[in-house]
Amino acid sequence: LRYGVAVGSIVLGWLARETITPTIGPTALPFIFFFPAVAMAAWYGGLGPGVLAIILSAVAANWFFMEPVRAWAFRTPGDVATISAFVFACSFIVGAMEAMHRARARALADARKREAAELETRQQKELLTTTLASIGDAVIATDTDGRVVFFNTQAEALTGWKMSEAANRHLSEVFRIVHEKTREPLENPVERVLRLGTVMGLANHALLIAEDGREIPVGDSAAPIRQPNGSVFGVVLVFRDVTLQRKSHEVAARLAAIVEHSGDVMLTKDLDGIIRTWNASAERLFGYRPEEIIGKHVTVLFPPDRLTEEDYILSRLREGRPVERFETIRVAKDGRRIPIAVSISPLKDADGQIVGASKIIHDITDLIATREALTNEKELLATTLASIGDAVIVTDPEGRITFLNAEAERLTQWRNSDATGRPLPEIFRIMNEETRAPVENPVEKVLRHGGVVGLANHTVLTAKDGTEIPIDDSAAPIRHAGGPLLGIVLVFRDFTERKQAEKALREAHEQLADRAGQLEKLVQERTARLQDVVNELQHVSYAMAHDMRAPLRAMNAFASLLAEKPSGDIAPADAQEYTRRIIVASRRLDQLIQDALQYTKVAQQEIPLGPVDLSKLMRDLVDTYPNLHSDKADILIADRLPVVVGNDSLLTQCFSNLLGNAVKFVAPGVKPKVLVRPEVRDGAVRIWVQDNGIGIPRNSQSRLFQMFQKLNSEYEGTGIGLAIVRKVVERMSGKVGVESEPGAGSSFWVELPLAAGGDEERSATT
Amino acid sequence: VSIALRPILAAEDEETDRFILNLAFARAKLPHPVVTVRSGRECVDYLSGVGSLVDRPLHSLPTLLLLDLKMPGMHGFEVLEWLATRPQFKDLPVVVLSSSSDASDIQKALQLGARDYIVKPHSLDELVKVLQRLHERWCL
Repeated sequence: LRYGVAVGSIVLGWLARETITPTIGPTALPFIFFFPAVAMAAWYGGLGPGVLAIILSAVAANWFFMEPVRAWAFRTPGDVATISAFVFACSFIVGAMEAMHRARARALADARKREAAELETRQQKELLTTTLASIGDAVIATDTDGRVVFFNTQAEALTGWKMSEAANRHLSEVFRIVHEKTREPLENPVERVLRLGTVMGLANHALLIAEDGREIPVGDSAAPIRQPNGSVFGVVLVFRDVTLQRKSHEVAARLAAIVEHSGDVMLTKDLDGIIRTWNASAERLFGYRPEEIIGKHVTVLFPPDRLTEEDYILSRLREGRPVERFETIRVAKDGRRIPIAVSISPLKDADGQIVGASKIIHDITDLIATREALTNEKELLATTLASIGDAVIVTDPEGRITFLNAEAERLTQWRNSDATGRPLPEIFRIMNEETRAPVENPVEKVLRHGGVVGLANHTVLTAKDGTEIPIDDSAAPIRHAGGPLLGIVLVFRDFTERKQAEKALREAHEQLADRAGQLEKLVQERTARLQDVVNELQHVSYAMAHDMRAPLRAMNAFASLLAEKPSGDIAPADAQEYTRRIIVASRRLDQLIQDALQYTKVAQQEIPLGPVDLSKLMRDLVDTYPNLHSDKADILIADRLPVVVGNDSLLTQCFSNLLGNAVKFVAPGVKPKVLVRPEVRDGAVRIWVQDNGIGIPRNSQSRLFQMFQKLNSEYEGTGIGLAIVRKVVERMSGKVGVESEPGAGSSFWVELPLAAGGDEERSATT
Repeated sequence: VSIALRPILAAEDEETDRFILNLAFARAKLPHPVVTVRSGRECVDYLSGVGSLVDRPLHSLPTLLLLDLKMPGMHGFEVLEWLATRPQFKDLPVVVLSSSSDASDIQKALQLGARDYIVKPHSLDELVKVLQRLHERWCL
């Protein structure tokens, strides 16, 4: 178009020159109308069309309006100059036009740019203002003196001041904060920011007091506003009502406390199955402390054979479906397998995205046990019912049969499966044996009476095939304690059959006989024990009778010798001798009685057993008895005697008898030498008392420990000492024995159980 | 006078009982001499003529043996058993003189060949009478 306009304007210029040709001649002023045409082309089209217009103008002027007309030839050098001048002048015009075009374009671009920048600034400002105004938080801006310069709607709502009222007031006037608890005024945050030059948060527990006196817990921060060069020219204070936040914190804390202290086991895990929370009950049930288990995979609680359950649980959770009351087994830290019921619900974040799961777990050990017990009981009842000897029919409250046991099946000849659901009278057809009149349906009877009813006597049951069986029965309602009637149970038995009774009787007889046999055995045992005691007593009494009569006889004899003559007629030496013998006999009798009493005491008294330190016991013995002193006898006691289980006083008696015998039975003139030494044999110890005495013939050794056995009448004694020793040792569960050769001394031994830990005690006492 | 009479042998271990027995023999005024031994062993030694008692004319075989039962070393029963195995003593009457009145002792002594069993009487007079009765029965 621009070039078209250039061509068009040149054509117009040519036409305009042609119109004035008649007036001024064909060759005068050849270029006159081409100047405006070129100017027009350059103004409209710019540089290119301008240059085109110059060329076209020069060509057209030369062809049409210069001599020779209609030819290219130049007539004079002046013509060339004329065209050159025209071109030159037109070039100026085109140049000026182009310069004008460019300047205008630049100005236009600048204006556009400025406009855009302004728009942007305006938009930004708008955005900031709108943001500040509509932001959820309250915002107050102040200048460096702390005077309010900006106040958004939230700030208005919280402080109760209008922006218009608050403007230019000092911040401390419109933003009054005190400590929630102490109610001390808190430092003005603006001053603090100006002082420190940094962003700062408010103290916790700040309470804003609004203009109308409302008190609002707030959380806030303040920051300096800086110019690009860094100098502070104001402070912006951002704060918000934290009432809800505080409340939601409280709620969250309460919920957390509820979860933590819930009697139920609660835990949460993420979608990878990693345990995230773990409450106190979980710790109690599984034994893991929270710090041990949180972060672990939940399958640490799974028994190896149930690991696949986690896949199932996770797949359900990912679909957002809860797992309700899933019964399984989990393993505690100590390896215990715990039956549990677990309910699992998906945990969603604020966006409703599933991020994990919460589990509530119940230990159902008791439940399982109860369930098992119940099942067992049910089974037991069913088995009992089925196998009971009596016939049992159960009906529902309407009298329709629900159960027939085996015996009922046999008597009625109905199968349980066939009879179920039929009314009772159809299966249980009963009539009076004599009148043959039907007997009332027991169900109706029970319903009427509400309690247990017995059937009339002489009732006959008619079986399916017509057989008549005399029966004896009762019916009772089945109900839960105080609950509605669940049904009726009918128990009856074949009255003709007394086998059961007979069998029971026979069994009872057998039991009785068995019991009698047991009793008999018991009596025999007791008798045997009594016989032992009697034998012992007989033995003692026999020995007493025998040995005690001897001194009595002596006393009698010598006393009668003294009595038969007047005292003057008896030689004084004889009288003295008889008297001495009476005294000796009486002393001996006394000794016998004492020893016999001692024996019975040892045989019968209660003896408390305990650890006895034999070393100490032996030392005490040697110290106590004069005939054991070193001037009379050499007694060597091994220095490490053990601690045994026994009775202190009985062991003293035992060893005083043994040591006494050891020093007594020596040949005349020989100084007794006694060695006491231990010999440990597994769990027991033998204490040997070895002497250099006269020894004991082998054939006498067997009765040495019997009552009143004196082997040698040349030595004093009652013959009870060793019997006492034997009894004492037997009473302490020990043994006693002797090894001896006549003339080669005797070695008596006593074997006693060792005290537990005797070694320590022994070393402590030595 | 009575040197030809064979002695009555008494075995008694208790010194007091021996003393009383000798006293009773003295009071009973029996014509037979009395020999006392202090144990079953001594009794057997005397009868078989061992040791110091080989001088048979002086210690001739007794006409009666009074035997105590309960003696240290060799019991009266053992003496009876020993005698039973020696045919030369089958005519020697043995009478047990014991403190024991136990029926089983009496029965056993009689079974082993004792001709009589006498429980030692309580008084000296009784014992004298017992000795006289025994002498009448076994020594005449």
